[in-house]
Amino acid sequence: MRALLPGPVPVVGRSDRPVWILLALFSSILVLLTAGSAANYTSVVLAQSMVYVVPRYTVTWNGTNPNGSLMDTGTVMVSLALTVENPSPRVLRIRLLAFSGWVEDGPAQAGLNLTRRAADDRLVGPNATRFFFRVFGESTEVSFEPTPDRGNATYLVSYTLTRAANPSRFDAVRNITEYAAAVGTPLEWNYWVRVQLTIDGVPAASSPTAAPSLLTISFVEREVGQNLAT
Amino acid sequence: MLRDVRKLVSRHASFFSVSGFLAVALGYVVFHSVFPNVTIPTESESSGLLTIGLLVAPGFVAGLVTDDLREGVLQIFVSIPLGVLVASALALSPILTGVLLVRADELVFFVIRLGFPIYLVAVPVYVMFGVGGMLLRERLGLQPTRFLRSRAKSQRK
Repeated sequence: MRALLPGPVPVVGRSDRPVWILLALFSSILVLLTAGSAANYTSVVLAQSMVYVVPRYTVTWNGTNPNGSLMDTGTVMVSLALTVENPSPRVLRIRLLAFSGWVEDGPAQAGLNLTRRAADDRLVGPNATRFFFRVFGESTEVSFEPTPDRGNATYLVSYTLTRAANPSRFDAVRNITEYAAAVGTPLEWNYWVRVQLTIDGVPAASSPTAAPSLLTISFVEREVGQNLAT
Repeated sequence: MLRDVRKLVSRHASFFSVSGFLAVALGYVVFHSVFPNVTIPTESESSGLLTIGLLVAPGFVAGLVTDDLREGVLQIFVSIPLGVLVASALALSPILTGVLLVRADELVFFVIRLGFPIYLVAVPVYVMFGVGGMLLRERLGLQPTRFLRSRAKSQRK
């Protein structure tokens, strides 16, 4: 090494203790960064694996006939109370909420409405195929209050169907309620909800060509129910 | 036997501590480049400056405490597999909580594969800046404290 050095080299040596102290300090910083990163990563993995959602649906009928069929002036309101259970140490924020509801289409099933029978979503069972009419399908970016770490929060969303808002859909639902009232069967609903929750403090990858692991690690996605949409 | 082991450890303590130091730096840099948005500091994408900086600085500091070129190069080569171990341990750290979303071997392979360019770059960077550190050590005339003490003792005699 000495041959590589230009100029005179000091003969009297100095203790290298200060550089060892520098190395110790640097090591401590690196160990802290490493331990902090491991803890941060672990908390994100916990959020990815432990968070779950519990949807509760309520259908409110207004303006119905005594037999239960919907009147022209009636409304159907489907409310979703979505509880996010977050046992992880990270705060979550709902970014995207998609929810849909179908009602079993009795007239189409019985072959009384072939147009709707062709357009309906189907649930293929082992014995028969059931036909479902999609009453609503919402997919929106939302900004609710965050879900606290190691806690839960319930979010309310609703969809109201009136004749004025969507005549063709309303008429189909009214026809289905009339059929159900006539044959005396209760209406069967099928719901589906998908929610995307961002993990606070985990920035999303800014480049679209980033590794898939980077694109997906910043959020949690949960889905409950069967999506019949084709 | 125990004394022999102790003697061996104390003789090579500085070698292994410097190798370990370089390995922790390498493991952290690899993990940060693979998962920049969950490490500290948190970034949306890994920063090239931080990656290079965290290879250059430890390489230089390791050179400052090393007085033998052959030993310096050897400790760099020992630090590479140790760095792979550190990065793998970081990737598998959620196991401590009993949670892992993917198979452990897949995750280790993932960290090795994505970190491969950094492992390759680490060797020349560590050697280059390690030699730089050694040159500065020579220039400053730094000597191990133990060596200086023994020399002072022999001069007194």
